[in-house]
Amino acid sequence: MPARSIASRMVASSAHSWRGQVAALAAAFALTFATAGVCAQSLQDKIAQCAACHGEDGKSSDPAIPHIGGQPQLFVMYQLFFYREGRRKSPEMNTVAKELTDAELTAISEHVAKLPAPPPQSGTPDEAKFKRGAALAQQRICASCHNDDYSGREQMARLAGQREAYTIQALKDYRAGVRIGTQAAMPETVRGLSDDDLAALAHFLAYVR
Amino acid sequence: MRHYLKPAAALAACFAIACSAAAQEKKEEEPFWAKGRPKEGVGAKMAPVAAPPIPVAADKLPKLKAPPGFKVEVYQSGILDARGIRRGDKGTIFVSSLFVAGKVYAITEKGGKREVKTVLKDLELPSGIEFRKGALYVATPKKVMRYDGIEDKLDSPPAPVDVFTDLPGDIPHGWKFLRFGPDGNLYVPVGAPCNICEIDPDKYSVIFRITTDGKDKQIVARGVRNTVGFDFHPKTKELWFTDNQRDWLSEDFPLDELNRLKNVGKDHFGYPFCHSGTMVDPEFGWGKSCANYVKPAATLGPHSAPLGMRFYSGKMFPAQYQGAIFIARHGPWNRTQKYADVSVAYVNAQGQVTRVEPFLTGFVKDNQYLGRPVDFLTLPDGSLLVTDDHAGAVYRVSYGR
Repeated sequence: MPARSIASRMVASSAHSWRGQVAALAAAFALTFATAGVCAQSLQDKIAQCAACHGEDGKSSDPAIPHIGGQPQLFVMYQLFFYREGRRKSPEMNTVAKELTDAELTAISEHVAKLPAPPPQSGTPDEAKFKRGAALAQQRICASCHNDDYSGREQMARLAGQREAYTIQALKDYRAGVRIGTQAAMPETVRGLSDDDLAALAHFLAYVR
Repeated sequence: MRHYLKPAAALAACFAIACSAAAQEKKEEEPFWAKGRPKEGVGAKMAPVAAPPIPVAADKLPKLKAPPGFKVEVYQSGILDARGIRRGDKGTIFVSSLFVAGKVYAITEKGGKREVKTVLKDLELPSGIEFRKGALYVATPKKVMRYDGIEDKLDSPPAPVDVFTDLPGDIPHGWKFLRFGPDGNLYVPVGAPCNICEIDPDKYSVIFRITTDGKDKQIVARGVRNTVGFDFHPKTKELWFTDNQRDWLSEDFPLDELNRLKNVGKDHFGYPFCHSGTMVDPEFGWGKSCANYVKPAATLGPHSAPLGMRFYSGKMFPAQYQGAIFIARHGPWNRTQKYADVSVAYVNAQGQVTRVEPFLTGFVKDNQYLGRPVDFLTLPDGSLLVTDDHAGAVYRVSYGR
């Protein structure tokens, strides 16, 4: 798909998106390539598209956009796959991933996995919220699959240092069953948690050291 | 009156506090999947096994081994997440999928050339499929649907007709296996929505018999944790099924089950009270006895995850395989030492299992899965198709030609 087409889709989708500004930014980025006569077909261009929103080093500057650096390769590959197939919903990611080949899923996920992991959220956490999140993480045994340092492995995401807003949305999607994953483990794990619980978990995971 | 109400109100307040404390406690319990998990060590770190969401190329598929005289070939590669397999009246091979693909595929043959197409997509866990009288039946955790005349409309399948929608729809163990019985009814399981828990025994852990108009539903078997494989004995017409036992407990226990249903509607197979016919559950088994539940016809190994099973009644394989059961042991996630194979269970004239042994091997190397068998289809020539959801392929096993 030529870059202009991706860009126009992004502009179209941005009207309905709460992340419209970001999409527009990405669209502008893609358009730059198109007007320069470069077709966004090469792997490098596609990787550059990731960087446009998620940051050059996989660290996003927008609180609503996740850091992707240091995510396990299989996890990234699965998310790109689910976005491509429309089985995980995000107007921007569905558009970007739509034309990816299996080989590109592999190459992009290998690239992303090598980007540096994000440091813990800077600043001081809300102590009560952090403690509540830590207790919940222990009760729900998050570390069993996501590792003791929440660095993730295989198809299971890195959680440490992740943007709070993103983690909250991810957990809500699992709870609502709109996102399932490769197994029933996540919907089972978040079952019965309140919005406050999810917020506390996300807060803890953003700051955990 | 007023002063009498006061203690009552105080009592109600106490009760409310006690209730809310209980609710809080319940909410903070460990998730269902973790019940019985060790707190430390390698056992504590086990997680579900996921293959990449890309099928393995034909030349990279595992080299499977079968007994002397048998030949194993790749029937079709490139079918992501291949689970259930059934054949249409006109020869179309339908293949279902589960978490990863959410699709139903069709394999067709034209001029000796095989072709795969996606027939249905964006379905939630559509693992259960069956074919009867021109219609493809597809079951998700929520409902059973029927696609009429689908073999003539593979490129634009008809809208589905709801056959049965009264299913609980849980994701854990909610995915289905479907089989038509010799009585013309559809057999539909509903697994336990947890690893191990007390369940509503009329809603979960059962196999239902449902009339094809969806109007009548009866429980034929109880105490079944999660069956995604069953078939009917070719002579006795009895229902036999595999059942996946609870997780954790031990590296070597519980042993998954092959079961035989003798008393339709009456037999209870133990869950959640008794496992493998021999041990009551450490939490739910107090006051229970395994003597009160039907014992398995055979055990199939610790956490082996037996999925599809099929009585062999084709004409191609040697006589010893007539009436024997092929069983796909998908292999454990909940055990540090992995194993997987297609096993064969020999059944004598009295309906007893005399021996279970590996038939198709080569799915595991260096404790890693190369492939994982799921379901079977006997082709008209008597050869056996086997699906593999890990490598995304269908294999064909033939004998002597």
